[in-house]
Amino acid sequence: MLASVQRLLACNNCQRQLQRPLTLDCGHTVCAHHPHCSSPSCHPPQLSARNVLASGVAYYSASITSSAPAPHVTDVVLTNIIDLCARRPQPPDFAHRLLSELACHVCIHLVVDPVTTPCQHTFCADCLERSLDYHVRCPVCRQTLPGFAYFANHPRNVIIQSISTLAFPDLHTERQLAIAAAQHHPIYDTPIFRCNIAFPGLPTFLHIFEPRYRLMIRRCLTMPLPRFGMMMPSQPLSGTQSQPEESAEYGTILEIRSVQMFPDGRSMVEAMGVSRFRLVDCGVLDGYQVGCIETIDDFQSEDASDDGLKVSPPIISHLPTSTPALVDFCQNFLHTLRTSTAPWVAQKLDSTHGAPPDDPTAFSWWMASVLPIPEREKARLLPLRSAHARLGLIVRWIEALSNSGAADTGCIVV
Amino acid sequence: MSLPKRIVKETERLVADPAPGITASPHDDNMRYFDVTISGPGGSPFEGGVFKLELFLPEEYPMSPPKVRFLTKIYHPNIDKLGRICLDILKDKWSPALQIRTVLLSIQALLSSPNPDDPLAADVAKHYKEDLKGATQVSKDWTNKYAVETA
Repeated sequence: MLASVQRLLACNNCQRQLQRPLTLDCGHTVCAHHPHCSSPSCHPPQLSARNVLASGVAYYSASITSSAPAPHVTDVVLTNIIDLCARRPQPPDFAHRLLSELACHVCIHLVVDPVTTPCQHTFCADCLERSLDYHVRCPVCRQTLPGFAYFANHPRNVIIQSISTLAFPDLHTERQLAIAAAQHHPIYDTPIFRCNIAFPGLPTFLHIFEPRYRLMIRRCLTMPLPRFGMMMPSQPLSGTQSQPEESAEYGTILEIRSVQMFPDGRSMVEAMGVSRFRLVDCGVLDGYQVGCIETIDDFQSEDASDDGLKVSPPIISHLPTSTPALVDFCQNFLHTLRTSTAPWVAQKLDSTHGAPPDDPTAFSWWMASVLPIPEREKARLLPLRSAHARLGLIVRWIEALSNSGAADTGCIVV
Repeated sequence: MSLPKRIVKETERLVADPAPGITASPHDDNMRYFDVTISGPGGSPFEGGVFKLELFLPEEYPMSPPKVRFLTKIYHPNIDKLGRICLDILKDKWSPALQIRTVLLSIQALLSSPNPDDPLAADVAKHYKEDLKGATQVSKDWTNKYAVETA
């Protein structure tokens, strides 16, 4: 094993045995006294500004700047391996020592997809990415690192990669499989983002900054259908409440449409509501919730639509009852709003939410998203399984708003 | 949820090759929760005492630091009445390259070198600064009173 490892320890520039190894941002290692890569096909890490992922998500990468290795440093892992190989007589536990040199300091196992920092420390690409979600510092020497974008799709350390697969092929495969398996919860398959209310058919825009959700979104983006569940944050139970509100168990499946990455690893995500669900059971994966869900659809026929009656107070005589009449009531309210308030209110309504859809189902969600009422109240719509029931609740909200006088005075936030 | 491989490996090493003066064993029903003992370092006022601590690995470990607390009462400027420990690597200086072992060794080192300039227990720190000899004696008394098993 020693001889084959030694053959790999060659400078990518002079082709001779490495003297004071320095790993460049192209992943190749050279002698520190001629710190340039001679590979003709070698480019420093670069990303095109916009990619369309296989899943159809538009992905806008952050711009990156190249970063030269700090002066007077050498690749720590390779320096130790060169020293180990030079020892005479060869230590009887050579393989064991080699393996401990090849351990990532974050996962403390054999390094997989080794990425070397400008300060010349090497980690699994996955481990380094996760560490950067928390701190932009090297886990070993605490030196400030060049940011998240620099290490996204960063070239692997070619020599360390080769030594790992050559010396420990089975262990390397086992580690790759273990890392892939750790991306998913063994039981629960839907990641849950606890943030705010989202409705089917309507877009949601999210600023992703919390480490756990950065990881969650990255994992979503590797899926053929990049989807996650959006739910309201769970509310601490108040003294009078013995159990959480029913609507707290419901959420909306969002499908990621576009991602704009920032250099530090935060991102803006545009997602579209595609369906509703009830959370049946849930667990935790790396800090975020994952759940088993049951999809909720509207009842097929209008006859079955009276589930709204269960949640509704007694019917108020002057309010409409049929679905078209409920839609008309909402449309009238919108008309009053447009004619009796400042023009910018109507403009903002159009530009933020778009034109109201004609279909009563889509209209019920659109109307709810427009109304200036608390999100926890809006969440009561999620379990309702007909447009009729939802519009019934919305009309009651409008009635309450009109009675409070907010709509007449134009004091409305859209 | 299965335990991350890193925690499994760390636990194996802690049990197979414990650091001198330190024990850590996980609970059977929660492998993220450890019963810890640290022996007072020789030459410190805590010498002769065996201090019990609890250590918990949060869901985001090793990206977030372990939570450690003294269960045995101790008179130390950087450890408060509730057993909370003022140690930079348990807060902003945490790095995922640190391990349970390195954390416990750092706490052991903190017992050897109390730092009254960065106090958590303000009254103890004041005592340490104004009357080192008297404060050290109180630490010794507390060690004998609370951290020495009387068989």
